Amino acid sequence: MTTQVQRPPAEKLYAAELEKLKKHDQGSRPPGWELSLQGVRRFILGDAKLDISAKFVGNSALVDRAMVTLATQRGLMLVGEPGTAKSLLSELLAAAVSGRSTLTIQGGASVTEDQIRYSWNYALLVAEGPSQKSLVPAPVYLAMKEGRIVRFEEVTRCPLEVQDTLLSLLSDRVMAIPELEGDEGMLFARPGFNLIATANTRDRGVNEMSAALKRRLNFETVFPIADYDVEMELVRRESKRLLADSGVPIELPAEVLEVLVTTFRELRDGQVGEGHKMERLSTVLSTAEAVSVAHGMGVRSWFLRQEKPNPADLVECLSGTAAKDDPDDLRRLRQYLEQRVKKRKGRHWKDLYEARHLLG
Amino acid sequence: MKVTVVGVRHHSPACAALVASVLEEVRPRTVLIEGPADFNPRLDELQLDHELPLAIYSYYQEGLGRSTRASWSPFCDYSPEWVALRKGRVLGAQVLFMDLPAWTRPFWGVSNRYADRPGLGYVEELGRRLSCQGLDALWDHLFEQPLPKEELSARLEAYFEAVRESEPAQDSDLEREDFMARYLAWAAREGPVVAVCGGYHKPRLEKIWPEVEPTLPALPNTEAGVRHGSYLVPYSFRRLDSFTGYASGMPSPAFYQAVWEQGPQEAGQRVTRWVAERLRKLKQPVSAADLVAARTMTEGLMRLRGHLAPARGDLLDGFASALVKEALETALPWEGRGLLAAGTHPVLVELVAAFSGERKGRLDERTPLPPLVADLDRLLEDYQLRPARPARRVEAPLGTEQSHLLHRLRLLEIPGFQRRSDEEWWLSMSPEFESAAIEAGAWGATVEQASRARLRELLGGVDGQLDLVAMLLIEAVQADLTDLSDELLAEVEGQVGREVDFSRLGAALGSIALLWRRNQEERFATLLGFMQDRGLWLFEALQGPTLPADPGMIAGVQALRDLNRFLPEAPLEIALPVMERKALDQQAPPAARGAALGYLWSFKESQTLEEQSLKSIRGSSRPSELGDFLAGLFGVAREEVVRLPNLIQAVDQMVSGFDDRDFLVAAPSLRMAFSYFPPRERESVARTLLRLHGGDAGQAWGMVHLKTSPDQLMRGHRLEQRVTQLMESLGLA
Repeated sequence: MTTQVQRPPAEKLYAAELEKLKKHDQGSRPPGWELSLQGVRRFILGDAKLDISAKFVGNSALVDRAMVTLATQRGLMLVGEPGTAKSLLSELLAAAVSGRSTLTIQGGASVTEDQIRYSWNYALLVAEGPSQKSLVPAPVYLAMKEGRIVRFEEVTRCPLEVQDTLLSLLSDRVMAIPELEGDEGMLFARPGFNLIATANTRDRGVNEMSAALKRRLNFETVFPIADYDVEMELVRRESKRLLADSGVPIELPAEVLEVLVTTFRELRDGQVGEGHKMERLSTVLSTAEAVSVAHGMGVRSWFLRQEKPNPADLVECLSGTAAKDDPDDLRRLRQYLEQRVKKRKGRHWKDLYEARHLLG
Repeated sequence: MKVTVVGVRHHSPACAALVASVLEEVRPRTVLIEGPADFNPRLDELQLDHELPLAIYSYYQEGLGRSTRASWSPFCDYSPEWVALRKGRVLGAQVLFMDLPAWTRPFWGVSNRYADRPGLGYVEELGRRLSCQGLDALWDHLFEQPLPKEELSARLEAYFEAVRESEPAQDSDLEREDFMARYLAWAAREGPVVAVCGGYHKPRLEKIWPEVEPTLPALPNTEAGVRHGSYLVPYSFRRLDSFTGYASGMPSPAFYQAVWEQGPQEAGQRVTRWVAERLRKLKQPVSAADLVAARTMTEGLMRLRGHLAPARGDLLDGFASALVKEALETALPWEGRGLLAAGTHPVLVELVAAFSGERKGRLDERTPLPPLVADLDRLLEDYQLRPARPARRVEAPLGTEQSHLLHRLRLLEIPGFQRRSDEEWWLSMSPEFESAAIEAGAWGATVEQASRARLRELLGGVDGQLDLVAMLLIEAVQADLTDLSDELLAEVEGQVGREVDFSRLGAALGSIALLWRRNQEERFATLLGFMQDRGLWLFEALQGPTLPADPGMIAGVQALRDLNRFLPEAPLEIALPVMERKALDQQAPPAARGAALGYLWSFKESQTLEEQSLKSIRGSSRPSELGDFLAGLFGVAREEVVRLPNLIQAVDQMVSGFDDRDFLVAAPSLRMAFSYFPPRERESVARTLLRLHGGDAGQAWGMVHLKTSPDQLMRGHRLEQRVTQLMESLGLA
C-alpha cells in the first residue's frame, strides 16, 4: 500500500513497463545495467509491440549516443535551452539503466563538496570517531557504491571548484575517504556507475566549466521539437491533462492551440513563416512553457468567464511569460503582433491582432 | 528468366557491388542502364581512361537567347551505373543507356538525373520504427552493411516495392518507364539482359516489359529551332555531395569511395585520419585520446545499432561526441538533408567536408572538347575581344553586347579580362586561358549557359550575406542573364528574409531598386515589395538612443522612400504607421527618428511634422544628438526641409547655445547632416542664416564655397590617408 505522491519518480511511475522490458530483454547488458541498450531505447522511445509508451519525443540518434556514452567511461552532459526535456531524459535514462533516478544533485551556488561526496553525522563522529556508521553518504557516494547512475542537474550553476570535485571520480572511478582507515579509505566505483549532468545554454557564463571536466564528458545538445505536428499534439495532450487535474472540464479549441503553438515556435526560432527572420526573444519559449500557457489560458477563461479560451487570453498570458520583465522582449513581441500577425488570414489571427493592446 | 532488373540507389557502393556480381553471374548479352539514350552513339567516350568523378552534361535550349535547361548525370567509381558500363563492356556485352534524353519533358527542372526521391511516407515510418535518424542513416542501416548478396537483393526488392506503393508515381515516371520497358523488350529477344535502374522503377518495369512492343523506341523529336546536346565534363566530390548540391544524392562521396576501394573497416580508419589532419591543420586540438574516444563511441553505436561495420552515421556521431565540447546551435547536419544551416558548429562543418572530400575528376585527353571552347573562340573573334600580349584597352559600355560577354567571362573566371570601370576593360593573354576555358565547359555548352550555371552556383555559396547576393544579381544583369530562374530569385528572397542588418538590407534595396528602374521587370518589383516589408521590420527594431548616425541606415530609409515613390504597388499603409511610430520612439537612434520624419514628409506635408521636428531639435539632450537627428532628417527629406526657415532658425538657436566643448562634440555629426545638401541648397541655407543674423545675403556663396583648389584637396586627402595607414601600422588606429 503506497500513499499517493504528487509526482512519483520514473522507476515507480513506469514500474510495470520496466518489469515487462526486463522480462523480454534479450540483448547483452553492460556490467551493472538493469537493461540492455536496446531495452533502454525501447523504454525511452516506446515500442508498440510490447505496448511501451514513448516518453521522450525527439531524436533517436541522440538517445543512442547518450546510452553509448553511459556505457563507456565518459560522463554524459546534456545541454540545451530550458524546457527541452533534458531533465526528463536524464531521469528516464537513470531509471532504465540503474533502476533508480533519485540519486540527484541539484546544482546551485550553495552546493558544496559535502553534498556531492559524503558528510558526517557529527554527534556520532564526536562520540565514536569516523566510521562507516557516522558517515552520511551523498548521491555520488551512493552511486559509486551501488553501481548506479548519478544525476547532476544544472551543473554549471555550481562554482568551478565544486564542479571539479567530479574530476577524479570520473577519471579514476574511485573516491578517497581519508578519515577512514584501511580498505574503507577507498571507495571503488562498482560497474554501472556513471554521471549524467545537465546544463542549460541560457546559463552559459554563470559558471563556465573547466577544460579538464569537459574532457571527461560527452556533450549532447537537446533541441526543441522540430516537428510542428508533434509539438502541437504534445501541447494538446499535456494541457488537457493539466486542465483536468485543475478541475477544468474544457480543452483548448484547435484554432487557439494553433495560434499558440505557431506563435511560440516563431518567437522561439526567430523565424516567421517562410524565411522571414526576426530577433529571438531572450525569454525561453519551450514546449513546456507552451503547455503551461495553455494551462493558464484554460484556467483563466474557465474560472473567470465559464467559457473556452480565446486569442485575447493568449496575449494576456504572453505578456506574463514571453515578455516577463524584459522591456526588449515586450518591444519585440509588440512588433511581432503589429507587423506580422496583422497580415495573417483567419479569424483567430485577427482576434490576436485586435487584442494586441492587452500587452500593456 | 531472360531479363534481370537490378533496382539500385544511385551512388550506392552496396548496389554497385551487387550489380557487378549479377553481371558475373548472368553474363548478359545486353546491359541496359538508366541513362540518357541519346548518348548511346558516344558511349565509347565513357570507356576512355578518365579519372572519376565525371558527368554527362546535357543541355536544351529553345532557340537563341531563350532560357536553357541543364541536367547532369554524375558518375563516380562506386556508381552502380558506372560499374555496369565498365563491367558490361569487359564481359563482352552490348551496353546501352535506356532512359529518355535529358531534354524531354520528364526532365524539365531536373538538374541531377541521379538525385534521390524525397523519401516520404513509408521511408519516414520505417526510419521511426528502426530508430534511424533520416533517410541516409536508414539506407546505411539497411543496405550498406556487409550482407550476403541474396539478403541484400531481397531487402532492396522489399524496400523499393514499399516505397513505390507509398509514393505515387508521377506522369514523368510513367513516361520514362514506358520508354525503358521498350528497350527491355527489344533487348530480351536477343538474349539475356541485365537492366540497372533506380529501385523505384523496378516493380513496374518488370511488370510491363513483357507486354510492350519489342522494338527500339525512337528518340522523341525536338521542335524546330531547339538546340540540345550532351558531353562529358569533369565533376567533383564537392558537387556530388548532397550538402552543397541543389538536387541531392548520396552524401559524403570521399567516405563511400573509401568504402568501395577498401571496405568499410578500412574506410573508418582512413576517414579518422582525414578528420584529424583537417582539424589539426586548422590548429584545432585533436588529441589521440579524443580519437580513441571517438572510436569507442563509434563501436558502441555499432553494437547498439547492430552494425558489423561502422556506418557513416556511427562514425560521424562518434566524432561529434568526442570532439564537440559545447552546446550546438543547429542539429547535426547528417541527420537531415540539404545545405548546411547557418550557425553550424565549425567542427561539424569540417567533419562534413572531410567526409565529402576534395577529389576532382579529370577527363582523358582524347575526350572531345566541350563545345564551350569553340563557342568562346567564335565569340571572341566576332566581337574582336581576343586577349593579347601586351595587354590592350577596350571600351565596352554597360548594356552593349561586348559588355555582356566580358561580364560573362568574368563570372566564369576566365583569366585575362579585367574590368576597370563601367566601360573600360583591359585584355591580356594568360597562360591559364585555355585550361580555364575547358574547365568552364563543365558549366555549360555556351558561354551564356555556362555563366548562368556558374552564377547559380555562386548564389548557392553566399549564405546570409545579402550584400553579396545583391551584387551577384547586378552582375547577372550586367551579363545579360536577366532571365534568372524562379529558383534563383527565391534564393535571393530567402536571403532577404534572413537579413538582420537594416543598413545592409537598405544598401541591397537601393541597388536593386536602381536596377528595377532601368529594366522595369515585374519580378524585380515583387522582390522589392518583399524587401520593403523586411526593411520596415528591421527598421522598426532599431534601438539605441545614443547611437551615432549611420549613413548606411539613412541610405536605407532613402531607398525605402524612393521605392514608395516609384513603385506604385509598394503599399504605404504599412510603411506610414511604422514611420509614425519610429519618429516618436525615444529609444530609437536619433538619426532613425530623423529619417522616419523625413520619410513621412515625403508623402504628406503637414504642420505636425514641422512641429515634431522643432520639438526634436529643441529637445536634443546631447550635443551630438542634434546632428544625428538632422542627418537622418536631411538625408531623407532635404528638399522639403530646406524651404522651412523655422527649422534652420531652431538649429541656429541650439548651436548658438553650445559652449566650445559642446560645439566640438557636435561638429562632426552636424557636418555630416549638412553634407546631404548640394552646394546650391547649402547656399540657400546660408542665406537664411545671414538674414537671421542681419548679414548681407549676397555673401552666402562665399560662405559655403571652399577657396582651395581640387588639387590641394586631393593632396590633403592623400596625406590623411597616409597618416591613417601609418597609425594603423603602429597599432594606434
